[in-house]
Amino acid sequence: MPGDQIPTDGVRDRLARYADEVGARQVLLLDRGGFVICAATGPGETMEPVTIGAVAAGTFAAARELAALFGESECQMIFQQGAQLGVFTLAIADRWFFITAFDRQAHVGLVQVLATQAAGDLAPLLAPYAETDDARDVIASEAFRADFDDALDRIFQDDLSTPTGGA
Amino acid sequence: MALINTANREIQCKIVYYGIGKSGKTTNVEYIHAQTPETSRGKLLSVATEEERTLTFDFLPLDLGLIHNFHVRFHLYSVPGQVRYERSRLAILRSADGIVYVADSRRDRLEENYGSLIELEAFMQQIGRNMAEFPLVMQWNKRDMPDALSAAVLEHYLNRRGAPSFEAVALRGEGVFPTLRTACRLVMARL
Repeated sequence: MPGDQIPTDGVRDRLARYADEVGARQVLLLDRGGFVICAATGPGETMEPVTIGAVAAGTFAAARELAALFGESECQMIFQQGAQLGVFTLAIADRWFFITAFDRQAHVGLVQVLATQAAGDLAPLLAPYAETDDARDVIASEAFRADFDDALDRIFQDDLSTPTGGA
Repeated sequence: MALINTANREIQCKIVYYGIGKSGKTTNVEYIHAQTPETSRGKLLSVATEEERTLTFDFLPLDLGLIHNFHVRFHLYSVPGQVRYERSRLAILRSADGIVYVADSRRDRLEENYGSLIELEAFMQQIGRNMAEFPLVMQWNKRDMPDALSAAVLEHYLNRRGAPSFEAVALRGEGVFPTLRTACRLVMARL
């Protein structure tokens, strides 16, 4: 199955503008699999985007399955309220979502309005992500495959067993 | 589904460890985390556990570094194996690029393994994936158990598709990396 190829021209700027409007501590744009496309972080903030992406995708997928059990086919947004932070997650089209961590002083209604506007702007920017042959040509090349194999053997090593069965 | 980010020159792929409860999926991921150089691994995350079992998923990001100017990353997930968590398994499977099926080799687990594979095939059909073409690696785990069935028997009943298979004792790390390397190669070949 071919992968998605996402050009982020313009996406990063729009996400940063949204983060600024909301006064967000952190904003992450993800695909439904939890892969990070880009991130915006407030002043002095640090984050672990890869881990957040995985957990956010799992949470979103679980919410969608929960909705399905109630007979609802869609899950567009999730809001979590904590003592210090709110976390708002919103779907973009059917392929991506973004997650916003914001101080409790911010009004969730405003976050929702601004997030919905940002989602509307981001959707067309993300839409033309269809294949670019140059990337696929590189991945399909023998040189890439050989170096990829070398990396696997170098990093994941304790023995070099061969398959015991199957194809 | 894999992500190829041309702007950031990144390739990110997702491999799911699937199988019945206590077959050794988490043990595989833990061994990979323990043995992989720190520069190539992220934080091992176990999302919610109940009675020391995986409730939602285990997650381990792996970084293969720059290859022809592309940053290549693999994300490993292991799903909860218990029957009642089937919706969790389906959710995690949706965006998978490859599957490692971890089978418990013990004789009294054969039927459960078989049922789990039937479930997997049904899930794949449900989410529109063609199992015949999907990157799949079989692992016959717990080869050190006295009542382990022979690999030939496991091949016969559990590997109808002739996927690459490896014998393993994941607790000691045997067969863990050969399984992972093969899964990574199959996934990359399908991009």
